[in-house]
Amino acid sequence: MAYKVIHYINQFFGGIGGEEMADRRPEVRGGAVGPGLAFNKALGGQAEIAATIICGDNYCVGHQEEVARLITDTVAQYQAEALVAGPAFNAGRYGMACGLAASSAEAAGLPSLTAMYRENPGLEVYKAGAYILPTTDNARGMGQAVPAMAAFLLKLLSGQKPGDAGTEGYFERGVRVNTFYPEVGAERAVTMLLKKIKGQDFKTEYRMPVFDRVTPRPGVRNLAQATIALVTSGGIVPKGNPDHIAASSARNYGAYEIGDLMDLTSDQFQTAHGGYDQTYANQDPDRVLPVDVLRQMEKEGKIGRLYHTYYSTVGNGTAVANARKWGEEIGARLKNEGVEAVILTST
Amino acid sequence: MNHPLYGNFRPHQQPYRSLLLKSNPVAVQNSGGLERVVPDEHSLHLMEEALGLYGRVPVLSPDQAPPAYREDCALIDLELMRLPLDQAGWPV
Amino acid sequence: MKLELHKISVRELRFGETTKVAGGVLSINRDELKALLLEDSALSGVEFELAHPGDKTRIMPVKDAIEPRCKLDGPGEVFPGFVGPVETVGEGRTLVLSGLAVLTTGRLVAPQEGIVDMSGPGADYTPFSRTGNLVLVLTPREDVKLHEAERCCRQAGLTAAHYLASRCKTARADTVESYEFPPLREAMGAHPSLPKVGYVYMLQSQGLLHDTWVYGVDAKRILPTLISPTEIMDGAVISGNCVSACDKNNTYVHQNNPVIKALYGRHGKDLNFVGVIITNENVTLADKQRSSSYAIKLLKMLGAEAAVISEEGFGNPDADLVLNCVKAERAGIKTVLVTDEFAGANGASQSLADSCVEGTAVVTGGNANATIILPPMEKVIGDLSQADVIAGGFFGSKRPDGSLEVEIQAILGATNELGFNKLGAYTI
Repeated sequence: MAYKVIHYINQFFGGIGGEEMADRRPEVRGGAVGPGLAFNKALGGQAEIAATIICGDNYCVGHQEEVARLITDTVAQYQAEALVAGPAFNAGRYGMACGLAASSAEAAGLPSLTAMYRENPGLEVYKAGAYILPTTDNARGMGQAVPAMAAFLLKLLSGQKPGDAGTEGYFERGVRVNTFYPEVGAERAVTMLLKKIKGQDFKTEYRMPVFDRVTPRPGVRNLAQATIALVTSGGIVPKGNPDHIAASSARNYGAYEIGDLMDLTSDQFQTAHGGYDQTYANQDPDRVLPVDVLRQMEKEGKIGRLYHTYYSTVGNGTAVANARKWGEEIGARLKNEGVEAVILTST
Repeated sequence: MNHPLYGNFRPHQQPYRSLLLKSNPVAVQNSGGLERVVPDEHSLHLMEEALGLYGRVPVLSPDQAPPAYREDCALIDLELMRLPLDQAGWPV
Repeated sequence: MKLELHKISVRELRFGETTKVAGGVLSINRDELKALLLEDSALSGVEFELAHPGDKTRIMPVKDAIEPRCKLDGPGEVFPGFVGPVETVGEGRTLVLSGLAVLTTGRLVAPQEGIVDMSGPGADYTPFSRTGNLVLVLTPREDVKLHEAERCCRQAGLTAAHYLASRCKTARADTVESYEFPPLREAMGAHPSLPKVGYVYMLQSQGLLHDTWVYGVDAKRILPTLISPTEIMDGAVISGNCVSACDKNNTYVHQNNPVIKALYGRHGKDLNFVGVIITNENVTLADKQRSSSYAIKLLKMLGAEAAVISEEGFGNPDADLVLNCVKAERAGIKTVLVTDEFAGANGASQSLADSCVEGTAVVTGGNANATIILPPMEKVIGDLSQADVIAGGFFGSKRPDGSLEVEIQAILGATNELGFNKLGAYTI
């Protein structure tokens, strides 16, 4: 008897449509759809996809509890024994959705897994809650991803306790699991130390986290003469969002002119951020990007001037690697233009 | 003056955690000639780490603990401050 | 300094007319021991119980565990400052009743756990499910303040442990172990081809119920210092640490320090064990800075190339551990750290409260937040009201069928940071 598996995919892989269908409500179809067919092949009869949940990426991100419930209901309905989601490659919202699917299923006691590219923001958010395998950054890697996922899924289904990430190939979840070693800790310590002394390879039982520490700059010497720029991850953009900065898992940032504007108004600016209620920011964008306050300070001589360009992106599920890269780029540009300090706003 | 974390209890076991802070005034020369209070970086780092921990885990508030438990915890909180209070010239 | 441990194996404890050991059975004269303990006027009552491996018995809350030892010859007496005079110990011959422990229980404060299950799933997590235990159920006098109550409970355990051993002096040892700690000049010059390895032994010293004593001196008040491993075997270091069962070092594990045992085991073969440095874990930053710099200076003075650093406790002392590690590594001394973890119930939180990139070699006693279900036991020795504290959710909770769901933090010695146990952890 083959194990029954539920497969979670998005509107694109479900053949429904692209970005324009991202708000699509979830539907359940019996059997395999899209990449599910490749899964069935890779599972070689030992397991098969009993049903597929197809859900729009935006809908999932915006209705997480509902989708999680649907997943558990579908699992129950089909008496499924496992769940597989994706693979999501580098699609940010899809990665979040797959992470949600796999971790909800795991939390409910079901063997489950998903797969995505290492920079997908879904990885950071969900890796502790589910097994996530690595993939290439786009769907051309489907041919490798599916068999790897199938093999790991079968391992989980067989009840085998997976080994550590290095051996098994999944992204390290950062979850500590207790185990009894053959030797007592003191012996293990001396053995490890001797290896370290001899310069041999050794495996530490706990890897110290390395924190990304940024040394604070010394304070601005003379604020009354300084040029201050505004940068935000709160998503304030010119009305119409000309650079199409995404509401979540943004892939870009924009540089926008405020010229001599004394404050931001709803006819010229808006927010693109999908992580908070947009009403108040749209009513008055100064609430997130305080141009009005800084202009006032300019007038009062408290600051030298407000720089005429501001930078903006959406900090909702942004990949850390991107955030770091953009920060460095924006910082370099502003520094080049004589800006002395930056006020960063977020939500 | 005392490390923000206990050596044994965790935030959901001890409702009290008193912190002793010492002001570290440093005369800083700037155009205004003002004296500023400069935080000790290591102390700041340890406090931030501790705050991070308190933000991540369940925390017991005093009203959630039964009276006898609360009293004992208050006593332990005081006892663990005894040495730094002594060193600060405020023996208990 | 040369010390011989004359070990008598005990597999069973009984109450009897005379305190003596014969054929692996220790007989205990309850009345004599009771009278001896009640000489301390701060104690109003003491009861005795026995617990053997495999019994369906739970003991809680356990303050301390002590191995019965006494001097056969050589200067001083075991537990200097408490039983023996403050004379330096660690030489001559010491009798050890092995295979058993004296456990002290009794209510000091509410938030206090320390469970020993003699059978069942909890037994795997404590070394004291494998020892025959004489349990002292202690009642300090009502009018006695907490400091005094803690002291008299601490003293009672040591007095009892010494008493048991001292009544067995004429018995023949089953095994004799020899340990030598030569003068430094000899030690540092010996085995020139082998790396010199030292041991930095961190002792908990935060305050009442969180203290350690060295020759009767509160470890808060010491500067880090050299000590011979044989002094540790004679009980020079005593536990006053009554909280956080999983990683407090009971007197028993000090006496049987596994790091010392492991280093001696490889001495002359893989390494030259040059010395032990004891240091403290005070709460103030200045003390942490002073102690870590001083301890590492001692390591350098010993010419150590590498060191094992063991910790006691979690959170606050992680800062000390990191300071010791960083200063040692920057002085060119390679380190391995022995610690435990508080990574949350799901194991996903940051395990230590501080960290350093220099800590490349770490051995762990396990994640103390992992939970375990302890079945109801037929017999519970100690203070039953502690079960309410656990049931109150502070250290775990009681389930409808009477079993306890607790974090292994509540089990005595579960995640010991001297590396006493086989428990550890890995990352998935």
